[in-house]
Amino acid sequence: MSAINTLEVKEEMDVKERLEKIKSRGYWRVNIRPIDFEERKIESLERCWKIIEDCCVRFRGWDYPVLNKEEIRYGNDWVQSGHNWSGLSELWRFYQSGQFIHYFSCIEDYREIPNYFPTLKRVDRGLSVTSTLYKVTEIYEFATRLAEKNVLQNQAKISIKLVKMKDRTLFEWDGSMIPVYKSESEEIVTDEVVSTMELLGSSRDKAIDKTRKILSEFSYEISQTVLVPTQQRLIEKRLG
Amino acid sequence: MRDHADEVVVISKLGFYMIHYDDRLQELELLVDTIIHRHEEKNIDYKSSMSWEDRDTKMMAIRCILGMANLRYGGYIVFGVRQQGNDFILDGMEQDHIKSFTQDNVDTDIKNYAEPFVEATVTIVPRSILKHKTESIPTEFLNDGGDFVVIQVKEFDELPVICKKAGKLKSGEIYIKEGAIYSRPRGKVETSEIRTQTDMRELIDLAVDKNLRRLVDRMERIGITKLISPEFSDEERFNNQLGEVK
Repeated sequence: MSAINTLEVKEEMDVKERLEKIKSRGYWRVNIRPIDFEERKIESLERCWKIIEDCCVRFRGWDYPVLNKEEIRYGNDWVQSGHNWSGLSELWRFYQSGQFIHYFSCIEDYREIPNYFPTLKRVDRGLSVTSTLYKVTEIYEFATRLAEKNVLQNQAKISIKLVKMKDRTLFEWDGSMIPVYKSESEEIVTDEVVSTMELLGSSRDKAIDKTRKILSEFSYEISQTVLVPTQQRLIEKRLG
Repeated sequence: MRDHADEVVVISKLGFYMIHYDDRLQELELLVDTIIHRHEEKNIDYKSSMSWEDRDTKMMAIRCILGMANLRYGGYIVFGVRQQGNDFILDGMEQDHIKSFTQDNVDTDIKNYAEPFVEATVTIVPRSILKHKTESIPTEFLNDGGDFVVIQVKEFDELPVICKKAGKLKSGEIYIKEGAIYSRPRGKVETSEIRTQTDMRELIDLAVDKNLRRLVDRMERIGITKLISPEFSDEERFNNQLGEVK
């Protein structure tokens, strides 16, 4: 049975509307792609979906990216999905060229979701250190899995952008961190071109580096050794 | 590499190919991958060993060919793979059945039903060349049968393919309808008449794309595109591709 058998084309979501919703508050933009452009590197849209299914990272309750069959949409050379949960939204698209683009809401900005973010009340606008590490680790793990599928050829470009970050404060969900680290930049960007060999060998270290880079934009210099055990708990699915 | 070269020589002696080694090896590799894929897809259909002379076989195959010709990138019909429940068993073909699959026979029959003509290539793939790729397949899915026949169907060239003549099964049932446009619709691994606006829209889009591409090729040949659009770098092409999600 083909992967496509399990899919149904549902009523189309309005892409523009979804992006506007995501961009109305803080959000992440992730772009992973090969360096050389080949329009139909992946032979079919069914194969595109299968690749995303196979590469989906499931370290915790929230998969990266979310595979929502209710919102599958096919274009001329891409497959797309996303979700909208109480305003917290996501949209990703994967092209036959191997290019992956992903927008998702900054979870910290949805404090109106009842009983969900009680500790966030300590800060006005925040970014969780742990959630950032988790997310970047998942992004790099996902990119590594794409590389394993030979989607990224020899070299890949991985871009992570966080938007609407100005005056946002770092915090921890358990309230253990004093919220004094603030971003002065509206956008935080990490871009890198990486060989797939390097990605396959050291994606977790790279995720730590990128997390540190993001946090440094808040003038928060955290050592690698502090982040590693937290990352390890995520990867080993030991989250309490 | 030597093994592959030897295998191609054997095939060549059988008279199936005029060989350009590298291209042909790549094509063979693709056919082998298609045979061992063992999951039906929109563009891959498996059938047990059967004779092209058998009317029902011919009707089933021709309908499938008409449908695949209307798909982007066409498709493959592999003979010699039997479906058993959700599994596909690599039985191979009986020798008499293989002989019935000649390029001429298949072309003649396609010509009778397809308008415009569909290009389909018949290839006999020796079981021996599958060996280096079947190690991971459980033995119960690999019988020691004969070779395989693959019909590779090219997507239509300019206009979508329409069935120009009705075709009946031995039972008298009309299996291929005159005037019908067949395809392999989304979400299904079967050939059927196009019935939904989504599938029809997809086919029309494909035809428009192809004709536009042809126009652009022609413009490139006579140098018009250089005047109206600069060369894009890979980076720009990735960015342009994002369109509304840029």
